Amino acid sequence: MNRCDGIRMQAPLYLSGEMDAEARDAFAAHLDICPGCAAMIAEDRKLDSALQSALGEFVPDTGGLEQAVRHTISLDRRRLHWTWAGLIAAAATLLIVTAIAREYWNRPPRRYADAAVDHRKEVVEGQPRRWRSNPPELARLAEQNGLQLTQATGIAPAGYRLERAKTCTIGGQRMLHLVFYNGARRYSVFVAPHLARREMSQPVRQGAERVTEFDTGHFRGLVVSDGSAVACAELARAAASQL
Amino acid sequence: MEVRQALERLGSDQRNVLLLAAVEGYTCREISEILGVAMGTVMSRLSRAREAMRELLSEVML
Repeated sequence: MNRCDGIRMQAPLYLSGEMDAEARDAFAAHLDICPGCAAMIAEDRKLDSALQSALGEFVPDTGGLEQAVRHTISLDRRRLHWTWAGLIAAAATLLIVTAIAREYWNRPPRRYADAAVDHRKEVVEGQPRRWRSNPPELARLAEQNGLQLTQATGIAPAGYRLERAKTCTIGGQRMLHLVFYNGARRYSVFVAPHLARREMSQPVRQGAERVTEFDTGHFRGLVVSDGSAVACAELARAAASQL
Repeated sequence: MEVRQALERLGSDQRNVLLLAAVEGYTCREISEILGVAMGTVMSRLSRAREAMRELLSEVML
């Protein structure tokens, strides 16, 4: 495989901003000396823009897609369970899961870590992602996630404004990632429609950030902030009061 | 040929990853999680989808 073949294989990671700095630099260095690969990347970017423009008013039914895929996976798993191999595997899995569960019982849910990692990579480190920041795009994105734009902009305390947003997957669930900025500090709110209602969680430390979860009966949200536990809880309380 | 028409010519596997990546802005890792397929599968479907779209739209877009 020559260098250009490798570049073509890695192109999706480059375009989605998922490469680490070293790989991204190496990729960009190749584009500087290879007109063919540079043209391919430029065309791919143009294609993505054309798709966004053409489908701007049309929301692809990827929510339905996600449900359909998960349904298919669950059917496959159900079939497996009817075989002996499936029963043995299920029993073994249950034993292992029970043992692990005892050890990890008190750990925060995976979505807390996912939210903290997304905030760190995409907001603190500024890794490139496809953010929406102009009002029409923000309004459309909010609607796709069951929110009015005024709700999305109103969940931050005074002094903060909604800077940008994108969809993401947190703990296997599609969520809207909102970034708020007050001129000096940014924090993230991850929110998705949710029917359960629970008390707000205590802030949990995840690396350098703190994560607080809330459930309003209509929405579930996670607030990620590098501030104190009290400040993080306040931001979560402000968000929950508006949803 | 228009973008939507070209999109309809793709197989559903390629169309789905392209929509999730290009329109919804999901990363390859996230798409892999949503669809329950390997990252490599997502990347190859995405590359082939973009390549097919480039060919289908070469006259009008590029």
